[in-house]
Amino acid sequence: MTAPLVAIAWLTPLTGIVVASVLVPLLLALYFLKLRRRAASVPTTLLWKRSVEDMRANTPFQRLRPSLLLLLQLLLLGFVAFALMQPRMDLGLSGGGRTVIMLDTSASMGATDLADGKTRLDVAKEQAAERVEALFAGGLFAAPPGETMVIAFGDAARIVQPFTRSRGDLLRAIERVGQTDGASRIGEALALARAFSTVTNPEERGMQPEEGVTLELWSDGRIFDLADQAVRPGESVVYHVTGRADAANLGIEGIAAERSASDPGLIQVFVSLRNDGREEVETDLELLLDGERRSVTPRPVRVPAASGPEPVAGGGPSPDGAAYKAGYERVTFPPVIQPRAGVMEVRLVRKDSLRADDASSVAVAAPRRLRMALVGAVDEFTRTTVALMPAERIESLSADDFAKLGAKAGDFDVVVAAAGALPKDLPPGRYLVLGVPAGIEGLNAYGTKTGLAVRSQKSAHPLLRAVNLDDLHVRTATAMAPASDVESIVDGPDVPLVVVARRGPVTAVVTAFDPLQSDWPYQRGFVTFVANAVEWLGAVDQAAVQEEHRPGETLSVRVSAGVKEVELTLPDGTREQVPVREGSATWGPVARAGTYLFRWSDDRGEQRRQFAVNVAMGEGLLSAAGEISIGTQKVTGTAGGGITLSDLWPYALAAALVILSLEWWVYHRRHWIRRDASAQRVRPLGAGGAPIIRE
Amino acid sequence: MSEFFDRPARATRPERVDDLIGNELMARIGQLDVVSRKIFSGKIQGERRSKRRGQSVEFADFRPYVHGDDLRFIDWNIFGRLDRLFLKIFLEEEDLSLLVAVDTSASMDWGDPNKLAYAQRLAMALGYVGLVNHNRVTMAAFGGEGGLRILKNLRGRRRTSEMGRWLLDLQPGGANSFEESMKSLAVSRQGRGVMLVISDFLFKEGYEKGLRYVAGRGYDLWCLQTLAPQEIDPAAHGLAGDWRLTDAEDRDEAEVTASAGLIDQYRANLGAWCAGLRDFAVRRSIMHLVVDTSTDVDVLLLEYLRRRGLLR
Repeated sequence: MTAPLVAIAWLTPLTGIVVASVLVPLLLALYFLKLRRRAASVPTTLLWKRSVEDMRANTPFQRLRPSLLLLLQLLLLGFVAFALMQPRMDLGLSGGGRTVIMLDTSASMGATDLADGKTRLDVAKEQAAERVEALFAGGLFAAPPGETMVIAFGDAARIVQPFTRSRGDLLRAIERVGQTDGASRIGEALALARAFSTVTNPEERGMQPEEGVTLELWSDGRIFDLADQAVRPGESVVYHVTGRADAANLGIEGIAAERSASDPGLIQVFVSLRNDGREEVETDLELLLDGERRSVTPRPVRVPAASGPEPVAGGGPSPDGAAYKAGYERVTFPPVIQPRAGVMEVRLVRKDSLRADDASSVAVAAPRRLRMALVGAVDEFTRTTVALMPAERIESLSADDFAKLGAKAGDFDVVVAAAGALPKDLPPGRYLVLGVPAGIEGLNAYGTKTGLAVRSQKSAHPLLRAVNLDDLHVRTATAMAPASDVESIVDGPDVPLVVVARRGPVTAVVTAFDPLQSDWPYQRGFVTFVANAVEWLGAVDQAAVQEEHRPGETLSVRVSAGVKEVELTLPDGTREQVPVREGSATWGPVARAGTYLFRWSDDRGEQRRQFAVNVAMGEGLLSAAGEISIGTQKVTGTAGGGITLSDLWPYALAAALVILSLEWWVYHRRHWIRRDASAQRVRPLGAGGAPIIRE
Repeated sequence: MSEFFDRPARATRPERVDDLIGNELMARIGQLDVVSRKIFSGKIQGERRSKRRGQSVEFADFRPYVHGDDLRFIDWNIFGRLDRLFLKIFLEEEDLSLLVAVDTSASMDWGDPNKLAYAQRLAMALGYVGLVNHNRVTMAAFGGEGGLRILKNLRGRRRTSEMGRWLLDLQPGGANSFEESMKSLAVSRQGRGVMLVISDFLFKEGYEKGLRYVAGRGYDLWCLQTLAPQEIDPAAHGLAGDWRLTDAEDRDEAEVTASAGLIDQYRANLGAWCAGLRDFAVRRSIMHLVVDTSTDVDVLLLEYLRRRGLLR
């Protein structure tokens, strides 16, 4: 990219223009207008007129003298107006200040709307490298450059290179910055930059604590949390616009897959399309199952155009109040047969500058049956309900038998237990406990309550789906004062009746009473509640509908006891070994979209779990913002890369002061000379104080 | 430093004869007499000597005998001692005509001390000297309202009061031509003697033609050029900055910025104007003096005019 010969930016050009347009004509008018002269009578104007004529005729600088004052005053006004416009210009100075190079690596930076098929991030990296070269320009005799650091940010910020004066380290760090498919959030990056640029001990670092920091931002301006940020004193932001303002994009905003309730072997896929272009577009979609094409939309899908003004980057609603509205269209594919686990992927046939959101996938697990255990004296109502649920295996264990299992208890997907049957040292697992057990911290049982009715329930909670507890009466319940992280979903008059507790690898749904101490088993809601609890605890829903994941999240799989390591295959085909801790293998945060495959082996053979990660929402808006608002400050973007913008107003103001002094001196000089000349040339005529009488 | 131009002092002109000439000044100048560098014949016999021979018994001088001289005036005693012929010259005593012309134009009513008031006092003092010495004193005022005014042929101390009142009646104003006034004065002039012109001589039409009318007609002419201190050095009296200067006589205006260069140029021009008048006067045997109105009248009379030979 060709850098402009003279790069100059104006922060407040209007102020300077207004001041200059008012004051300069005023000054000229003052010169054109007749001076307001004092009046005096003299014996004759003969000598004065002759003197004025002589002055004009004989003094070569006579005509220049008032012009000199005018020139100085015009210059003075010019410099003041120049300073008011807050010009910033590339002076070729590194200035010795600190520079933070911030590279946006969000999904939208992967767009190829710029020249040569390069992504925006590629261009940004090139410009940042040029910027580093410019900072270190000047060779051996130049002043030492200030320290520079490199931060890459998307969903999360990462320091690629801490503050250094090494040109090579900086260039290598910029080269290392990689693309992500996450959203763009700058808050963490600013916090990191400030944490590193705040000098806690100026003497030690040889720098002034108030020394400024220049934040050089390469981005398309579509940063979600700009409005929450603020430029602090001493910080100056240079925004390098990367991307075209008229870039259009069509992408898949969301995808979901659901197994049919009646036939779990059938999967239906739903897709939401988003159009950020100003024209309606048509596209075909194809559905792939594990990489094989299974369905195509029978006719092109029409996605309406976006409407409303371009959203202001970080600036809230647009000035005229109209909101930007992208074009949306939803597509439902006909059900496809897939009794096994797999990855459903939807692709746009139409290609555009951002490839990342042209495909979206969702992983569906195989319909899976649960392994359950009934521990202790579980009442018959509960036993019957559990027995009616589809399960691979249901075992009834005594409290002692369960205690002997130890870590192997984790093999059960769900354990339904009476309160007294559970050991104090509860093994990892998911429990439905009828009554308050002793092995779960934070429940804080302190006595019993009698004659309770339900005062409130969280009907939106999955456990209470289709459960009505209005007629529930409890004769005796254990009184609990649960900790704040224990969620109460059913409350009695003073005490919680049903709570959900999560303690590391242990998740438990706890009722405060034995069902037999209430009329609940005789109500239809009891069966529903037990079924909900077992399904929720066993994560049975995951088999039917797979949540889609977004970059920035962590992926986690729960594995059987004894599994030490899980193999993860990344979208680009590379494989990693992920260690298992407390029964789970966790990997993240995820940077790129695609399919992530976990594989491990246990006593049931090889296990697979697939995760589909899609591009962060909102990244499909590709139009680069020419101006961003950080808090209340607007920053105008620059198109180039390798420039150092320095504030020019202090120089302009200093020049104005010098000219002011010069103008003052020129204006008053004649008075000083006149007084002295009067003393020397008039008084001696009457030497010794004698009167002036000349022949 | 006074700021005359910002706050012009109110002119204080004499209102009584005593204001024109006090007793002390009369006592001090009573012994003075007006001296003419030339001795002319008067109309009547007076105390003044004349070149005319035989009318006086007072010896004046010797001169070598030339053919044709009256042998009666040969000093035979000198011939006896030196063996050379010398002629004795006797002077005839005649009265002296003293003409004092005062410029009463508007330009004279300016300055601190006021130029016209100064001219009145000076004319009064000189006229008094003439009166007490039985000279024929004529007062003239020119340039003011009413044109040329003349008070003719005063003689004797008793006319002092009359002369004083006449001077007190002079009012400044107008801008009558100096040339015309001098022409009228020359025509109406009687006899010969000493003529003093008291003026600032700042005439836009020039002083040359006017002075030519009165110079060389048997009068011993003196030009007393009175200038106010504010004219001589305006910068020292508050003329600084931007001014609109109005001519006191013709109301002409000049807008000036009193810079150092302009003040210098003004002083040079004023000097050149005075030098031009002096050169003009010297060539025509006219005595010329620049008088600063801040000079005391008695100092002027007793020291400067006596030193210059007008008074003795």
